[in-house]
Amino acid sequence: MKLESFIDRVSTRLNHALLLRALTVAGLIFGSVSIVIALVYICRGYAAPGWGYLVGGSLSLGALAMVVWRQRVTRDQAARYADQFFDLKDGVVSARFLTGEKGSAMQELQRKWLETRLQAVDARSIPLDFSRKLATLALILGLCAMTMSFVPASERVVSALADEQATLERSQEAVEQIQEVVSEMENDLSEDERQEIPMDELRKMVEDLKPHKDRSTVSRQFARVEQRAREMSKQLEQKQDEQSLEEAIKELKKSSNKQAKKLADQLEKSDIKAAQKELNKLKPKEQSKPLSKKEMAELRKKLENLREVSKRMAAGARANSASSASGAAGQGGGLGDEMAGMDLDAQQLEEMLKQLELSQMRNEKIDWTPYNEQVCKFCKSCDKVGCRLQAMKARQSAQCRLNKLCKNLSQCQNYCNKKGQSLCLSPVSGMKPGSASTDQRKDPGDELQANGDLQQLKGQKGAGPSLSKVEEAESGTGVSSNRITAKARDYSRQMEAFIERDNVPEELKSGVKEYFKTIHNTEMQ
Amino acid sequence: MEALAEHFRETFTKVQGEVSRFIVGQNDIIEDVLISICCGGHVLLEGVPGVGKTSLVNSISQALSVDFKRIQFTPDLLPSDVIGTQVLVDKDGRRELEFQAGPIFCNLLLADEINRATPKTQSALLESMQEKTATVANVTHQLPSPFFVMATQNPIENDGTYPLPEAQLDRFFFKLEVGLPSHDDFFEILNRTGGKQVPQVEAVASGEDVIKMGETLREVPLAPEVQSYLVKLVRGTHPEGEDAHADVKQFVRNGASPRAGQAMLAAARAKALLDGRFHVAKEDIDAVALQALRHRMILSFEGEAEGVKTDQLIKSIISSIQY
Repeated sequence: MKLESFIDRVSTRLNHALLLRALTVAGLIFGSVSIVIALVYICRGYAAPGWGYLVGGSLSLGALAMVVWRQRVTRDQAARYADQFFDLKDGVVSARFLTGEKGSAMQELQRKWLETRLQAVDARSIPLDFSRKLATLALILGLCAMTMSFVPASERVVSALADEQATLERSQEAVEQIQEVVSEMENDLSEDERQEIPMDELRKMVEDLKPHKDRSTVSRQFARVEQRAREMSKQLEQKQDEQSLEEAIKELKKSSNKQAKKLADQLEKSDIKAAQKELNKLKPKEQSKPLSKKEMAELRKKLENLREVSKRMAAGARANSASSASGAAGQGGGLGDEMAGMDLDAQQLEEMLKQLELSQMRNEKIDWTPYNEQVCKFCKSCDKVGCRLQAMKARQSAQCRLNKLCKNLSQCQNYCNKKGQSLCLSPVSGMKPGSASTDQRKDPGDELQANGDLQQLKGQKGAGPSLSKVEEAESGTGVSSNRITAKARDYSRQMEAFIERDNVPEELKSGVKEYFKTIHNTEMQ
Repeated sequence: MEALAEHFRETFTKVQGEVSRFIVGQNDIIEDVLISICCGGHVLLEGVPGVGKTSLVNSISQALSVDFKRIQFTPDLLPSDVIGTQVLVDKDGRRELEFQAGPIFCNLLLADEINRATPKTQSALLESMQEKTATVANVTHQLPSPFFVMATQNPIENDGTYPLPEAQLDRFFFKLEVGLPSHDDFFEILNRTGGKQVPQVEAVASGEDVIKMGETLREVPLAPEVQSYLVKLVRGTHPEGEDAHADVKQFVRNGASPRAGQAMLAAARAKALLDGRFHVAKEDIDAVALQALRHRMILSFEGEAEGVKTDQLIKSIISSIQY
């Protein structure tokens, strides 16, 4: 028992020494790692990060545990060490072996011999073997590392960090807002609009937006979505049809016909349903029996009204197709063709009625079948135009929504880059009292579409026409370019007045119009 | 047991002291010779002429008061000259062959300059050294107990000598190299032997004492760790071992046999008892390693050519073994 307690004491003493060595190593590791990490950050202007100390601490603790675990002194090692240190000549090792053997005289002698020797030795005389210099160095390194934790970050870094944090918060806010906008937009979409906008793709792109502390990354994300939204919007463009409709409206307005004017008003107001109703009113009914003179006159009157409307609309379509043929590449087909087709059907119907009227005057038997077929054909053409107008309206609306979304995305980018206001703050600048911000976003036809667009509101220095601008004279000619511009404007006015006349053929009108547009474009360039 | 241990130490010290009266210096040699005698082993003494090899053996025989014989080995010595032979004698009117014992029938045999005899004669000692018997004409004769052979050989006069075969070398417990005495020892030798009176060695122990001491030795315990060290040391002399020392692999042809381990253990036990301990320590093994291993390691041709000393190799092995 005495031997075992002696070995325990030796083992404890050796483990103490090992612990001191391990602590020294751990301290060195902690100090070195923490200082290196802290220095890397401090040299870049940052404060020493807390995780650096955590890493240093973890590594040092790991090293401490590993050293203690792998090099811990066992009882066998302690026995051998005691033999060597106290010059016991393997007395302890042999005694431990003999303890397990059957008692013999020699064993007893050995035990006595060892006990006598052990009385003269003390385990505390085993030196705690560790490097004082290294321990001091570890302590100094640790203190240095701790001192470095008090070094503050530079102003530049503080502002950069604040900026990153602000960008993160702003991007988070912007992402949430844009997601809300898209969600609201999706809820508000009509069936027709839903077919025009690939909402799944759009929603996924918006959901993929992630808040980030880096401005460029955030901008890139928003720009990617905006670009896609613009592409979608561009795909919804229907310039040809819109121009055709515009021309048709103009033509209808010129007409003295009441129905044509009403239709023009409805189309101008984009009240497609009313316009469809108005067109339906123009549709003649099928006839099956001979008509009286009065009835025939009414029918003729109705067809004249119908013809007036269809002729005006077809004239507008033709004018547009002529301008597009001489200008940019024509799109072909579309609303213009359908309006022209409707006019053709109306013209045939009118001629057919004239034939029937002559037959009636000659007291010939009237066959209404071809007339009814033509009526049916005209009705179909009319329905086609109506459907086309409705589809146009849906596409316009969808495009408007996408444009609005693009604008919102752009605004979000500006907001993240600290150049604009958030979507929530936008209405404050000009919304009428009582209007909520969601209303503004919900209503694509807001009267204050420029709200939030500070660049537009404020104006940019050097951009846009100035009253004080002095136009430069063309060198060598002695004639001011301003005079040429004024002359061209006069010609333009005269020709516009000229082409407003009714008796001028549509082709000529559109040709002249295109000519001056070209001149105007050249001047602008 | 304590009394036996005390008897061992006392007897050993007495014999050592008595021999030291005549032999000046050479304390280590005296101790090693006595240890090998206690362990029942034979000793090969190697040294230049005149360093006291024969005197040492003479002194020990006198101190132990055992039957001592000496054979001067020469090239013409025959095995029968060593073991004995049958002679024709008249006995009751009849003539019959009778075994005439050779000088080997003694307790302590000094085989002086053993390497001068032919291998045949050298081999005559093999059975006697190992089995402690001698066979002549198919009759085996038991040698007296204790029986020790103290052989000497001269390392410098190699002409006309026959190196001992490995088998015979392995039968020697220790090979001791007797060196020249130091200045003071030399001075003292002249003082002691140059006068009218030469110191006389008196008998202080007997053959029975030696046998008793040998029995006491066997009681000394050996811890497994120390035993493991001993095995590692002996195995370390073999070049075939994977963890053999580089020098051993390069310069050694054959390592020590298990008999070397037995000899080292016995000698280490004696060393422990002499040190006042009752267990064998690593130090004891290290202390007898050179004597027990140096003649059992056979150097390779390269080792011989390089003039490598087996003692140096053994020291390298000792330092390379982890304990």
